[in-house]
Amino acid sequence: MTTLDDLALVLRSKNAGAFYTTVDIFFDDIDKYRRAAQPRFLTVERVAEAYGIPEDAVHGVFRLEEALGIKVTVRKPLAAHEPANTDVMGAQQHLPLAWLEVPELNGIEPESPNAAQGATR
Amino acid sequence: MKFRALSFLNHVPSRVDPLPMIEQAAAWGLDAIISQGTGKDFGPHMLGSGTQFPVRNFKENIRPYVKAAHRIGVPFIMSVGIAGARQQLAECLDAFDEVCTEESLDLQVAVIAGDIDPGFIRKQIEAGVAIPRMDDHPALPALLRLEDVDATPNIVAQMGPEPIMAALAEGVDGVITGRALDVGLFMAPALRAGASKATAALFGKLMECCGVALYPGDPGVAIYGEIDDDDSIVIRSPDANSECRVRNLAAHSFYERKNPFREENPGGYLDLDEVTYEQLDSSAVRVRGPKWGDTPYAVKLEGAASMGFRAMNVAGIRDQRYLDALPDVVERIKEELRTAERFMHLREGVDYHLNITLYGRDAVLGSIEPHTGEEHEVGAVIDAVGPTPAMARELCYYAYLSLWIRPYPGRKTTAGNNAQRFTQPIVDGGELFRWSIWHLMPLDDPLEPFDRSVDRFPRKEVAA
Repeated sequence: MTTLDDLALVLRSKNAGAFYTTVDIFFDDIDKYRRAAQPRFLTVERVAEAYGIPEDAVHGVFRLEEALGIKVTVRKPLAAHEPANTDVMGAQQHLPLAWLEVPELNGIEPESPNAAQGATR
Repeated sequence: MKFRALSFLNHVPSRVDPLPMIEQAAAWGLDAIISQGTGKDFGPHMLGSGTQFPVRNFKENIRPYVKAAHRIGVPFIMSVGIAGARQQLAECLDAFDEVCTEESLDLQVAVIAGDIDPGFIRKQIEAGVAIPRMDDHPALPALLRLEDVDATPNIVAQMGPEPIMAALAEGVDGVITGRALDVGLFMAPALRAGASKATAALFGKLMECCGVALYPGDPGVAIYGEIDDDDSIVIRSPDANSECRVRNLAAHSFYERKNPFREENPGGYLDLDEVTYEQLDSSAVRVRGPKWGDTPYAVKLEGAASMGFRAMNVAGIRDQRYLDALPDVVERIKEELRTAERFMHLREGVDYHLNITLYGRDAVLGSIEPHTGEEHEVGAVIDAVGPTPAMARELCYYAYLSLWIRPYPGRKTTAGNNAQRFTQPIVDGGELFRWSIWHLMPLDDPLEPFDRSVDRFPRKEVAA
């Protein structure tokens, strides 16, 4: 079993403002990037399930081949400043994605570079 | 060549000697030295409380760059004070004044406040102007209301490039602003030099966080950029030990942003969909292809309001029987506060908040934590927020005593249930702030709400 954590060189999360968390995943080679960027892997449905949030709280899944990077942005269930928020900078929220199993490519072509899916585009 | 600039962060100490970077930049050619030092990344606390990083840090960070700008004969443009409200701006201006005195500089400087007069916003609301929230989140009112303005002592706006362009047109030695759009600091001189909006905005985006966009990626390293006559951008590393690489520069578009392909600015958005990167050598990358779409002019307002005061207790729990009982105990304590006669005048979730966070169990991921039930100890943080410091302590004390000494099923530890971390049971956590305003205010005139003056520094002649 290969997880996203196994493939990624950088796997980080951070506030994108106080109301969204963004997860950036970078790879050190194009094959790993393409495997993780295959459209059937990080779908809006799977991201919503990993974070236990509704699909309309998934702002977007973005891919940029020049950066060998994938970005996932989700609306925070609790804003960063709310007293019950236990990760006020959002820096440990990458793990629900890190643990996901990434399927083999199996000949499925990755989407074109700069592809995005989600609420915004 | 249309425009060339060196960029550093004025709230982050330089991690390498700035002088060789400045010399390298001067050798390539310079038209301005630009530095951002405002942002909301550190949360609403600084805006609400009027605090910032130690101002001495700012003073020493800017010193070599202000001297260099004067020596080379180019303007500097700096946003200062983190939250960038009047109080933080005033402290930074005092430090800047000291630098001018100590370095025998005599400078004409435009100062632009980032504060917005609440009366200005009230007038807009009363006139029926819709001021919508920036982010679609239930913690924010969909449209800004008078009551939100009334609850918010400090309100700033991210000024766009226009007030800075107006200041530069007055021929000053430099511009110092309170809260400002990072990208706008770079757009202002680039637009004056004839760059397109798309190129000026992308130039700012690549430059604003300095060495974070380089390899290995250090905000304590400066960055250099130029806009060529064909409107393409070249970004260079002025530090001999850092490289400018396509992959890192492209990856910088991800940093703390919701969307790496589209960036909202006052009056339009930057579209990065077709941006291309070309490696020129190990320290330079050429960037082309940004697009700009016009939108109605609006600035982002930021305001922080008090939520009350916090008090905490920290305890360790090692006894397996108590670990097993904890879920019920936590619920019991919350119910005890809800039903206590002395707290009946307080509404849970409104007037007070009680959280008991169990480190080692599910503190970080909460209900989505998949890994449960195998811990050998747990750190419990009781965190009470109340309307006054005294009330926060009373709420915390009530919960602390219950977790510490009340019976639970199967208990043998009748002298105390947990390991108290500190000799004082209640630790004050200070005042709490929330983003009460995070809204987009339309403006007919991008200059109107921002106070601007030109001052001579040092502000007082030193007696001979």
